[in-house]
Amino acid sequence: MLKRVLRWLLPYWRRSRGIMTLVFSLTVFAIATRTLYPVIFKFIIDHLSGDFDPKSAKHWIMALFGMGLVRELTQAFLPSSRAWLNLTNSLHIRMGHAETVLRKRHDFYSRFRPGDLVTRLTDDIDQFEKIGWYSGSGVFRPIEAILTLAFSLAVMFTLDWRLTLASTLPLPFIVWGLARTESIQQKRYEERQKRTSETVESLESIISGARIVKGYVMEEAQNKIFDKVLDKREHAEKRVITLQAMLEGIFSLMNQTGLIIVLFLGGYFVLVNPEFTLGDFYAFVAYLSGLTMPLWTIAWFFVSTNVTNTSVGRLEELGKEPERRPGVLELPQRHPPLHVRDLSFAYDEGKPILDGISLSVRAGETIALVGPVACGKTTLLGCVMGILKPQKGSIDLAGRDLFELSDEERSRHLAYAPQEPILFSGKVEENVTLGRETISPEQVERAMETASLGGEVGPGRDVGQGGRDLSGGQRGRVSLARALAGTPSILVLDDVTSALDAKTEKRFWDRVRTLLPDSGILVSTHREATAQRADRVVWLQDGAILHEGRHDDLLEEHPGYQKLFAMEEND
Amino acid sequence: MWWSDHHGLDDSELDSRLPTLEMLRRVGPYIRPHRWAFLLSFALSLVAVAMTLGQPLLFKRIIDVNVPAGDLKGLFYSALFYMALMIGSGLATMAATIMLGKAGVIAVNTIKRDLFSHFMRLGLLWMEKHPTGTLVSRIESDSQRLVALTSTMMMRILSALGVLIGALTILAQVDLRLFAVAGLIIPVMVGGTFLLFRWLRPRFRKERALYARLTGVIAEFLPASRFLQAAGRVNWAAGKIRDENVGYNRFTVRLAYIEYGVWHGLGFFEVIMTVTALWLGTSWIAQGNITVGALVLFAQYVAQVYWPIIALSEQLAEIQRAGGAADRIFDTLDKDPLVTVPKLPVVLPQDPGEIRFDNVSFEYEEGKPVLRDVSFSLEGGKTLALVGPTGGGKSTIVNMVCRFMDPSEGHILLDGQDLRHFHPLDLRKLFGLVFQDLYLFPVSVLDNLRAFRADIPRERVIEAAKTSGLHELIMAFDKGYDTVFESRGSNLSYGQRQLMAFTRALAVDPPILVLDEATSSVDPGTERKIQQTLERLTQGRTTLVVAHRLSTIRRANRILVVEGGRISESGSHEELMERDGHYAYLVKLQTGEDPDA
Repeated sequence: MLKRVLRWLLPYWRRSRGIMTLVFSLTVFAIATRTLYPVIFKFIIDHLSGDFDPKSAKHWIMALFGMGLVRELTQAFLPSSRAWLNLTNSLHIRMGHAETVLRKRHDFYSRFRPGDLVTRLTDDIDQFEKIGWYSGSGVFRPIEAILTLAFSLAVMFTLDWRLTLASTLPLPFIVWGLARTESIQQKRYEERQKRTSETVESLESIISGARIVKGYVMEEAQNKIFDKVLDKREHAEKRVITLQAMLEGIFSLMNQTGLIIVLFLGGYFVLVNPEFTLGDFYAFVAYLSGLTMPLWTIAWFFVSTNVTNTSVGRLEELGKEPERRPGVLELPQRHPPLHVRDLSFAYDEGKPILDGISLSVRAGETIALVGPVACGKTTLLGCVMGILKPQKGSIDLAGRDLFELSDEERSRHLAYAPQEPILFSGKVEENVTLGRETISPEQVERAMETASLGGEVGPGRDVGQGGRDLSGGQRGRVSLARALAGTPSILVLDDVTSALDAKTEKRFWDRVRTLLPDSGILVSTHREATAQRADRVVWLQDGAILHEGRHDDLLEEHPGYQKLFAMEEND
Repeated sequence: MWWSDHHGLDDSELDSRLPTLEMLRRVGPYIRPHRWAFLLSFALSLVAVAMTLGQPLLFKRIIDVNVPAGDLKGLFYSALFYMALMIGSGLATMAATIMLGKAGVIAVNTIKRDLFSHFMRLGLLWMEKHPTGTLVSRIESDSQRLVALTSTMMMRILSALGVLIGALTILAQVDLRLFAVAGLIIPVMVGGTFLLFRWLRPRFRKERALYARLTGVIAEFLPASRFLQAAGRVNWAAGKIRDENVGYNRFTVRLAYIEYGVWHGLGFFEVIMTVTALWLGTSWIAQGNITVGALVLFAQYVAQVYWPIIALSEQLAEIQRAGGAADRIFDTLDKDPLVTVPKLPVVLPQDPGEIRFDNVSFEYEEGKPVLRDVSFSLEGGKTLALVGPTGGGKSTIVNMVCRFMDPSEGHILLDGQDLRHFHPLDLRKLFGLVFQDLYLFPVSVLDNLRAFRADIPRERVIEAAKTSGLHELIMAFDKGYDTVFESRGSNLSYGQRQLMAFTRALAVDPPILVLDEATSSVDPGTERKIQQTLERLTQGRTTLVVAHRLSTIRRANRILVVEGGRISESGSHEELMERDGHYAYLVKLQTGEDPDA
């Protein structure tokens, strides 16, 4: 597990090797100054006791001052540099995974829910003791601990090897004991974590369902459910508290037994062995008191590796999923015609959603897609927009296969307004351009005017997160303006006019034709008024084209056609 | 702060408006049942502090008395006593931590339970006004922080003060000059730490805001991936995320360097204190009026007082944050439900008939009425449809019928009796509600369909599901009616969830049905099932429906057009079509006829 986590982190460490080197050097330097401090103190004590030598003592006091200064300086830079390392690694890890998530194949998004994806790219990286922290502090703290142990033991050995051996006798037992309890600790922490999530989940579900809870007088039942959840959590929390306090107590006592040995044995040495000074005695006490924390850190390293391992697994899972492979070609021609030929599409080898579809959209033409719910309209638009790759047939722009074009090039020709408008925090203007530098403020304004936004909402208006500060209708019109702004060759609209009332819709179509006289339009709709304006109507039924023609002709020839628009009335 | 090497400084929230004493008084009732545990653990932690402070004294004795005298026996006793102090303080800390921790957990959970049941009592509109996340964090983190104030924070403050005061007192006893050195420098450290924390607090808040922005853009862009691919803007979106992340990193790293820099700058005063004492001490030893042991003791105490100073400043900032939490908690607990319960509730009619609105007006804000002077009546067993534009006042009428709120003026009567005279919970039991928000709880299908009412037998639920045509679907689940809904039924289609909501109303079988029809379209098969179920459901039942489907509207006995808070038209479908007003316009819109033609 440790190997796997370290191997996974390796490429990120390579990218931040500069900061890694800095942190490592600071760590070594910090440990050296920190462990030398008691030795200097030893000399001061030795010069003040026994053969009293104030002059040498003062030299050592000056040395202590210098060493103290260096110690505080390295201490100041070490944790902040570790934070820098943590954050830099987090950035690289997050961006690497965010970019692949943004480029996945369509089926990926139906398997991973949005909330879950966001958690993986934030909490799994940023929370305490998760990947970001682990990649820097998590690894360097045990290194620091090991170095502290090594330095301290080395100095102690040079001072007196017998006392060192005697006083460090309990150390192996402590490490062994800590390692033994690791799995119990982990189990208890996980239990507590599980119970906490359970509480949050149950609260979320009850609060979001408040209307049903109150409407059906379920308050008492919900109180009982919440009580039960809390009872379990209380139990888990108490167990963690007890375990933690006991372990901390027992191990610090075990560690202090070394100190007791020094007090007895060291004191005895000072009395009987003239080589062993009072300063040596002090140094031993100082070193042994400083060993508790490093031991904890080392033991804790295994727990945090375990925690990180889980998060690494969750990110790895994202990396394994296949990405979409857009093409790289460009298409300089203006207003290329769109041809769909014998196209079939199925999700995951299931029943085909589209079967043998052929249609064309030429410059200046409006094609309406109509059909009952779930007949395949949105899926067809998804294929045309290059998100869904058909298993059979082809889609081309002026003879160039759509999937050979780069995303940027395809979207320059084909602009899309989905059924559910998608808006991002920021101004209306930014939502219209989406960073396309070729779109001028005048173009934005004209597109907004065409989408009937003019006057009501200005380009500088903040839309709020996900556009929540705008009304549903306004959101839809911003999304329309976005599709119009790039003066695309072909406009692909998915049932967007349902957000407009009849009057506005009429005005909208008139204006679109003024703004984009030469663009082709492919629009799916439930509205009879929209179908009426189209040059051609393509009637889809169960994934296949049932009939094609002008609206009035279809009305005349096929009695079932009218039902598509007036299902409600005929029910 | 997750990125740093210590915790407890993050989560800067609003500072307290309640004075600390008032806050403690309000928390009192939650602590009182555990007061002995609290007091005992505070006492124990002070005992532990005393024992820890005693250890350097023994060490001084070893250096100054036992060793020079060559007293092996004395040395043995000193070490033994040292060991006793160590074990004693360890045990005392352990006991205090366990006792306080457990009492704290129980107290937190009591607050959580109180808040939760208060939420359940407060009006629906109050709950819907706040985002779910805010309410969850009020129960989850605010109560945690409030109790931390009275437990761990109090213990840390006590220990820190104990160490500071204890160490200084002992120093004064041992040597006044050493006490003077510490007394001159410690205030500088305390002052510096306080200033640092004051400077840091708003910056931590900003750091959290920057992080929230980062998670915000991620939460916006990732779910929109497919659209971004279609629009060819994936690189742009990735760039946006990167920009936010880089901005956050830059701010946070700079903050970390400043924070630790200043901190260890203050830590350097510890070195200055030690060096000053040793330098002066060298001459004092020469004069014979101080011992080496006293200097070592000083150095050991100085090393011990630095962390209490930081802990104190940290805890004082914590108190302010706990104050913010206390404000929010007690604000909520002090809130009265929007709907009052009468002292002597009237018994509900056995077979409720007419619902009447008598000149009802309502305003959320003064001077901005949502409903003005609305009067109508809904006879028993009949269906009344409300139509009209969004924001016209339809939902307000529905909310008032269910008594989620009361009119500002006028009366709503059930069989001649004002709704306010009934107990709201009794009253609501008369209603079956089907809303657009088709909520399913993460419990069994059975409990979902019978609205947690154990008195509704399983057979009745199955019967209802058969009527709505859901029985086969439910039986196909792993455990049939005992299957627990994963992630609130998100694996069901919209139409299926709509049918679930209808089935719930059928199973509960209420005398009055309130229906807020969904606008979303579903496939023709489900649509047919919905219509059939709806027909079954409304048959002979008093029904109030916010209607979008023409079929529902036409079937209603009466239709009210609600616009701008008033009823603009009222009558049957035929009557209203004949009048050729707003209703006729809406119908033409839906059927695709050009209303302006």
